[in-house]
Amino acid sequence: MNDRKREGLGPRDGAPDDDVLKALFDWAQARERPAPDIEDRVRGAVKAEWNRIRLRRQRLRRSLALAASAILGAILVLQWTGRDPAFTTPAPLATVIDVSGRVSSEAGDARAIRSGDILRAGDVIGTEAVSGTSLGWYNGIGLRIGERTRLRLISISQVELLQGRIYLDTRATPDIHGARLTLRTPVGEVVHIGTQYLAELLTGQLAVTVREGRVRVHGSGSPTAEFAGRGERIRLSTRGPVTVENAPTYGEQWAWVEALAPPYELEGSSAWDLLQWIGRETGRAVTFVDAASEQAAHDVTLHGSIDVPPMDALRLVLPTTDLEAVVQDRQILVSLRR
Amino acid sequence: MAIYTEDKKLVRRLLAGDERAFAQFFNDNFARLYRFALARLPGDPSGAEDVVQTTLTKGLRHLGKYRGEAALFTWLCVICRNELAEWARRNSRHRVHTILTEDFPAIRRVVESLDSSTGAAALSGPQRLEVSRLIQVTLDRLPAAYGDALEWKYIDGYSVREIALRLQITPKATQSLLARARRAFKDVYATLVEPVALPGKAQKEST
Repeated sequence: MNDRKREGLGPRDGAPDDDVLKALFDWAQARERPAPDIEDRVRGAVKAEWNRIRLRRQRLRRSLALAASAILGAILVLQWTGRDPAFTTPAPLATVIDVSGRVSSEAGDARAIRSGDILRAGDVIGTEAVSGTSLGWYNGIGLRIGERTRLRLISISQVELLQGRIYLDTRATPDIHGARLTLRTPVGEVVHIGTQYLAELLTGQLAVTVREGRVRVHGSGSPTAEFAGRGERIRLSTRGPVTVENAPTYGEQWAWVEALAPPYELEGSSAWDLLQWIGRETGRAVTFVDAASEQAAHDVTLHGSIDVPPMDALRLVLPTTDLEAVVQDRQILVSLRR
Repeated sequence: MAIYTEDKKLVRRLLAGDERAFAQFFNDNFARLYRFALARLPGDPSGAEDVVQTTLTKGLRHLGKYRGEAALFTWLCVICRNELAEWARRNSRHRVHTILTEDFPAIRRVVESLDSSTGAAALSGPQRLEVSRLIQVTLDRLPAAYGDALEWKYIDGYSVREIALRLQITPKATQSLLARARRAFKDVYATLVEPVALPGKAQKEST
């Protein structure tokens, strides 16, 4: 038996020689190329997705770099001057993402704030009736300020609520974890433990409603702390007992929070991603009736842009897919369209 | 364990946002993935297009998970297989049950002698088509430059100088690349087919 033929393709050194391959390739045809229009379509769609991913990574790197440089800058200034930070250039703490109505900063001369403005330690943010603002804190936390509210920005890890209502989301920036922001009020102090919560200081009473996670609340002058978890509300005042009650994580009380949600990056995201965002922003659990509908949500890639509140996004975007959703109190039930 | 350093370099460049890296990523993988998908969705170029688009976008989203322990194309093929399964599940009325030799290592087809003076004549039409298909599959499994260089030389009949111009390397480097490509071809092809049997021996049919 011919050893070469037994080996099949080549001499003993393992490299098939030219003649053998020529003989083999005599039976072969060139590989089929995809049609140019198919290649163009796929290239365009994949490139768009890559651009979206690149942009997201750049923003994340910028946020981290800015946060790091802000902290480093504050440290260097303190070391250089050896003086109280109030007498140096105040440290930048956050960027204004969105403004609705009339919102101002009372640091020095009062001035209206706009999207893109940088806010610094010592700024006091004031909102008028039917107004609000959404801030991107440099440690990754998202902070929304409701109407008729005054909030003093103290440092990267502290704010003081003087009156009104704020909403805090410690997971506003994906991939950034562990950021802290303590909320001080005349009535007490709120420390979050990985959470979304709403704090309201009205008529001398502080009410903290937790949508996700837990908070620890210290009453002024109280040696002990109270805890509240998802779906609970703590009320405390300078006089009177601390109470903990059940509170819905969705509904009318949260409407102003949803209205200030930063725009969702729709282009290239999946329907599943969008639904998770809607659930998170509206305090509802997203439930799929079966595995098929959940997989379909993963498989749908969305295109375009939206700048509407979450429930409007659900009504506008989902009908363009094979999915439909029914909102049932605390749940968004998703199924395949029949 | 082999580490695919060139593929890892490409992925690092992609993660850094290098535009040319994207062009290389797409050009190296799109056509091969398309053929991979189309072989499993025969007669459905539209389905193959959808599957490949989803595969490439998912690949880009999960690039951070690529460790270089397999070729990048192989890694993309794993994603593609999952997408094909999902596509088939969603489009069950179009499902075609296709068994491909290279998908089932236990299935082997025996081809007759490679000696063109006897073997070619001994092969039936369908067998020759199968050999042709396996050659194409093998070329797609190689690094893009290897598969292209072998195809240009042995199927399209380009000279070494012409191939060098296409690859933008010297003729000497092209010859060296062709030698490496031939070795790689042999290794991959051998995993797809049984050793050659001499004419006259019974062929084994696989199920």
